[in-house]
Amino acid sequence: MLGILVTYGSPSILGNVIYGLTLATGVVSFVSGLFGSIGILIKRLIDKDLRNYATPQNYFTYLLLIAVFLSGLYSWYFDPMFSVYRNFWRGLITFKPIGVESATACHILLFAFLLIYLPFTRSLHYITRLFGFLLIRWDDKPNLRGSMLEKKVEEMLNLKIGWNGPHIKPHSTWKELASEAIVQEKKQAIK
Amino acid sequence: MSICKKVEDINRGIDPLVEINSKDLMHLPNVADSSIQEPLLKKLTEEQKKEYECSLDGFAAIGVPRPKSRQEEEELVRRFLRGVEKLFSKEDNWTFLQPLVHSLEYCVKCQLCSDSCPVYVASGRKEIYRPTFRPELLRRIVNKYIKKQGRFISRLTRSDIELNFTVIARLAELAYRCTLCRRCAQVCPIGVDNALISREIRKIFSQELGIAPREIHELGTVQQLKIGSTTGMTPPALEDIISFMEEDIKEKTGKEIKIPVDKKGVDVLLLHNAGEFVSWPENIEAFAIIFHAASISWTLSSELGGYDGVNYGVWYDDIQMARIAVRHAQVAKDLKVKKINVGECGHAHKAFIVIADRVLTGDLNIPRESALPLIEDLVCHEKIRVDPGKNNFPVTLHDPCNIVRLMGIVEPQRRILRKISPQFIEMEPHGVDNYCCGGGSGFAIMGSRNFPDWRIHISGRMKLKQILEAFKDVQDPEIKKYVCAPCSNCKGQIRDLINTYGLQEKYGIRYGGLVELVANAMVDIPKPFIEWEG
Repeated sequence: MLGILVTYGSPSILGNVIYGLTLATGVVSFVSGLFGSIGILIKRLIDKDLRNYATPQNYFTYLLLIAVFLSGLYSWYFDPMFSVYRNFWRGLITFKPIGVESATACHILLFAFLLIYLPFTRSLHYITRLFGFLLIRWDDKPNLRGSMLEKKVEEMLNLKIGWNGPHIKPHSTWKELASEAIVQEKKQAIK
Repeated sequence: MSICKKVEDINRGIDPLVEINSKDLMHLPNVADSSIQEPLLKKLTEEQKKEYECSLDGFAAIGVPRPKSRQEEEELVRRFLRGVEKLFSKEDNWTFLQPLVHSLEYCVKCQLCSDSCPVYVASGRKEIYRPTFRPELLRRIVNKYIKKQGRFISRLTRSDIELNFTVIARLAELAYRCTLCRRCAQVCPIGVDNALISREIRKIFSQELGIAPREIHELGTVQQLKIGSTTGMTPPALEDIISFMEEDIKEKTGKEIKIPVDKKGVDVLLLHNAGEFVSWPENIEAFAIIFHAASISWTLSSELGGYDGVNYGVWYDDIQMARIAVRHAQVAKDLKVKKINVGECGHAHKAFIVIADRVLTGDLNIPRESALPLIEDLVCHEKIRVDPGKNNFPVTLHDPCNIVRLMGIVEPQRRILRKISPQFIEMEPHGVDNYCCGGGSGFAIMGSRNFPDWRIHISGRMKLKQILEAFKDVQDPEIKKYVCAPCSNCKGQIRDLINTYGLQEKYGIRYGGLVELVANAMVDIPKPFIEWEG
């Protein structure tokens, strides 16, 4: 990409390293991805408890993943050095698009569609899991007097409640409702 | 035979959708040669069936009354959907919006949680009790009616569900087939809380439709706010009970101990579950004896609501929950105490220490703690003198879900028991992986129609099995055994399990709290504090 020949036996060491890494990560991901997406499809289908709760969308996702990994593996066969693939992306960034093999084109299209589709699946939630897991389950931060958290709770307590249950006075805020019983009682005491 | 196999089946007009038979239930261990007698499950009467919708599993916890006309039914569906909508609005549900949305959106239905659910497993794996079943039903209702997915998308997400009175009433009952023990949330790899969703569903019914079990709402939170306690105990009645307890202490220990009431400016306001005053006064007496011996500066309150630490709102209604939490804090504020210690009551721990932390601000935000670490300090740092030889009988420990799994208070009660009970046996599993007693989330006090049978046979079955297994090597009824349950609600449930299956006569198993064991081991009390008979 930077004028370095990326292949096995390239005069540049960097070229060799990039080639080796691409080959290793690419092939490992294609093979394990294919294994995983076929495996999860089979698992969802044969386990009754999983099948009962599976949606057509689940199956569509699995089939799409299989297609992405399979087409990748197939286009690797035509482009063993990944050079066409690399040139395609370079062309895309430098606004000089190039033509590619139909197998590679097919893989690129499928992969691009997957990137668009991913946010509509649950796959990306695993990223938030890394950051938010403990927050979601054990948000244990104590609410100390004078803290930011206390201020935030105060704000929320002033929101108006829209619930219509018979024990809830309409158009009241959380704060009014929560202390209402005491106010009433005090009024009675004064009388 | 189980007819309901999938979530879609909730629409089917079969009565009941799932039949519960004793022979399908999880097997209990063969203890000795006398196999345990399985009492028959009570069926609903024809009149009850006519009046209430109970076609879920033939039990009626709430007893949702049938609508009288077509219009009434349509109105109910409309109001129900308005309630569902409010669950997702910040104004109406800022308290639980985030975990609700995350749990609904993130669950991939891998079913890892299913086998962790004592209700699902004990029922013989009935589909409707699976922890993912009711969230999936709510998810589909939300997809179709709130997100208004078109026909194509709703087919992709399998959300083609038809709402009518039967489905709504079945969902309402189903929300009361989960004890909110949150064992499913504990095992979920991504933190989905399906038990929380059970409570969110209960909120729709209470906060929007005014539908909740009578014992929890009318006789529960409403009564507590009005006259002071869910037990019906008024401040004057409390006075009588306290003087009775002082006499009782004198009789048992020979000591004149005054139970402090409404003492201002002391260190500790002790908040008991009022069930203790009525059913287990020895628990409150033991606290008084221990605190007296260790010279703790403490008090009880006789203010309206100040002597009953329970908060049933924690099971079904955020507004009632907030009202009671504010009431409790107000009492402590008026007494100018340094902190509040919650006695042996799991739900009070959850409501007042954990959830109320997002309700109480300013001078109502008074330090709130569990009483267990305080007792641990007194016992383990020898502020009171104990002789473990006085507790020389097998003891097993039940972990209340809200104290242990929710709050992480695991070791204090164990360090106490290791110090005072030489024959302490752990149940398996225990600690944060414990099983609920089966009476959680209001079940222990819900006695209408045939629901207690469901609670004893299904939700309590796992705990029964654990108790029997813990004592499997000491079955002789002559050997007295003690199930220690530091929670009023769990004690009620364990009492009913012991009585229903005759465990006291057959195996010599009885139950009680933790402080009773401590008082029983105290050196300066000559007579045993625990009375084995009665």
